[in-house]
Amino acid sequence: MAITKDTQLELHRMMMLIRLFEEALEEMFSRGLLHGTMHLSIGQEATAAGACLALQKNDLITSTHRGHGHCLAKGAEPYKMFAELLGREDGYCRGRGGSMHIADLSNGNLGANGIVAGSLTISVGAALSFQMQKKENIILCFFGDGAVNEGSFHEALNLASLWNLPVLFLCENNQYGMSMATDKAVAGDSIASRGTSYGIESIQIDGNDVETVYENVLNFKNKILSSGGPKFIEAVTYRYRGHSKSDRNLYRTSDEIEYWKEEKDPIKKYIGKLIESGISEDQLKDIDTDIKDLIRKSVKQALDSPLSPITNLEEDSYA
Amino acid sequence: MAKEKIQLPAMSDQMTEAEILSWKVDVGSKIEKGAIICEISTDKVDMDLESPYSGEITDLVCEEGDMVNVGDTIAEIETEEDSLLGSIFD
Amino acid sequence: MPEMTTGQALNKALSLILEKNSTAFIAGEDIGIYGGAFGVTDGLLAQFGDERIKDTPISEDVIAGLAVGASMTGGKPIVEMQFSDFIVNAMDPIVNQAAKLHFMYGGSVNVPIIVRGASGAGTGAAAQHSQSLESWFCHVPGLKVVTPSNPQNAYDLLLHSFVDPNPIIFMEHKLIYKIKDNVELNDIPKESSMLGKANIINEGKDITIVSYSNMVNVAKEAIAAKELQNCSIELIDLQTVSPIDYDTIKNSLKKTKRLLVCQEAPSNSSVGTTVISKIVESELFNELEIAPKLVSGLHSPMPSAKHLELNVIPQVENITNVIKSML
Repeated sequence: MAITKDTQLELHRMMMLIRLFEEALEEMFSRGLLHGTMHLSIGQEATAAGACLALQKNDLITSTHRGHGHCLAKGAEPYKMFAELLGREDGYCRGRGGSMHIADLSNGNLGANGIVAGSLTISVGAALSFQMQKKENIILCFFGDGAVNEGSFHEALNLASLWNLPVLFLCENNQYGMSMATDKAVAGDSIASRGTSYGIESIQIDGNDVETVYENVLNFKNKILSSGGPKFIEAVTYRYRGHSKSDRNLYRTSDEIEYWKEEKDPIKKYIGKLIESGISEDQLKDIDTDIKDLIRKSVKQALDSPLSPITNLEEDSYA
Repeated sequence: MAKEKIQLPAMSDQMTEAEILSWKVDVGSKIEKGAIICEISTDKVDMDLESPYSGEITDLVCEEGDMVNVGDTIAEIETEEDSLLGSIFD
Repeated sequence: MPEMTTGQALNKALSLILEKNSTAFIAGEDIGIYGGAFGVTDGLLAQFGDERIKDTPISEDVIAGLAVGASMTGGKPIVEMQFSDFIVNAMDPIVNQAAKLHFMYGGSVNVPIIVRGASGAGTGAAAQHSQSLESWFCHVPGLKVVTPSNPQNAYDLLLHSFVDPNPIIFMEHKLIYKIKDNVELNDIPKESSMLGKANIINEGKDITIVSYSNMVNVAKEAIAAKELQNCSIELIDLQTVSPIDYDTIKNSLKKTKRLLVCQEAPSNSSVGTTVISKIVESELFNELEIAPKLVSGLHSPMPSAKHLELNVIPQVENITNVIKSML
């Protein structure tokens, strides 16, 4: 199935937006502007962009603590995301959720989750709603390699399979939990084989090839809608930064990080592919300039916007 | 080409200052983005500092043993890259 | 008004909810054809079919988690923990997700779920099937915790819980399931006005007894004792243990100036200790004629032998004796 040129440019644009958004956050953190830590997804842009751009607005996603990319790719405005991280009233969660808990329901993002595997069972419930309401939509559940050892992962896959629920389980295997390498944490064969063991059609793909991600998500979505039942994708990728801002990367070598940056960077690879296919460098540079302007404008706007007022937080705990 | 400042970044939420333990570059060093330019010591831990830009070091603003605050300029670099957010803050 | 057991009253309430709300559904272990371990969902599968009455594998984590996800997407789930002791396998979806999402997402989402569980001791089910864990959930902002004590308030409290937009832990003490009484089969209310309101079961002026769940029934028996014939005892059923109706308690204490709290749960970090602590901190402290007391279960896992179990749970005589000592 051929991907149109427009879609290709969209995919590149979205990966650049995610990369520059995360780099802007890094800079803001370095300047002491952000409270708390962050879990940056630099290096993992292709899975977020490829997956979310294959979905419709009414398809849902659930996201993870490393979820800024998912949120942006599902249509979030950078301004409202920066505002959220800066504790502003205009933030997606009025400053109450922060980096790990951004939800954007208008764009079908049921929310990022600070608990590893926390959103797997939630996505099963949302899929059940789709089934009961006879909707022609799916929910894509993002989770990492660390989540596949939590009990809730197994309960969620088992039930989704038994009840034929429209969930696309997508594991972003960046090969490390916090400091533990997946080969020390995951027994048995590949992570994809865990999906198979629950009777779920599963595939392992190169998570750093944005078109591969896009095509496989689209393919599985169509299969879910036509024949029912969940599907499972293991997308192999890599994060350049530490788990969080306190991570000193003692568990991996700088050679390994350099290798992935030089040889497997999803954005670099895709630029090469697009130029080879005839898209002009200038067109790509224009996109990059637009994104930089958007980021700068959004950061400034967010910094100038008012803090979330101190309301009665005890009352706000209840609907 | 422009001169950009390299400032002491906050490496954690609570960090406010650090000591420059040792410089790994000199004035005139040509480096890539991400290259280690110095080792610093905070109250918690010793860490390597990476350069946010590729280019040529034009100035080392402080000396080994100096205590520096987060946000202070510690070096300057001539680079082709533009700072993403520099225009907002500087 | 028809006479029925608490189990049957709950059944009627669930049936009414499912009839009037096409997005409501029930999920849990053995709630379908088996009718629930305590018979509360008996007959509902035949009435509503397996799309609305969903038997699950033994998977408490996903049972609670799916409730969260469904409630965020238009569903109205009522899920069951077969024994409330099993709720510990569902702590993440309840405490880290359901209780937090409304706040964390800046008010943009509600999580209107009910998690029902059969709680409490007295059936010889022993340590892992007899706990009273309600205070765990009282400690979590964002959750409401409801504890019926009889057929009528079980029926009404379930309907009120259904229309409340917050996540609700609905603890049904096992010993109330068989209590029989007349029940007014009210309609589903427009608002959850009954939650957070205590009920004065018996009016009096000499002493205030605050209790909840099955201990209300034990306290009722205690205050009817011959030796207390000449005493005027006010008995308050909290009905909701989070949030607690302190207005009713305080108004009562202004009258009686004596406070006794009775609960089955052990005392450490419990509902009873919270009530006493809040009253002691309040403006009423100087008006009390005697130090408040708490009659509670022992700080022990529930033994299986009957005579040992009865030793752990407060009995009628325990309560009667403490009342006598306070008057």
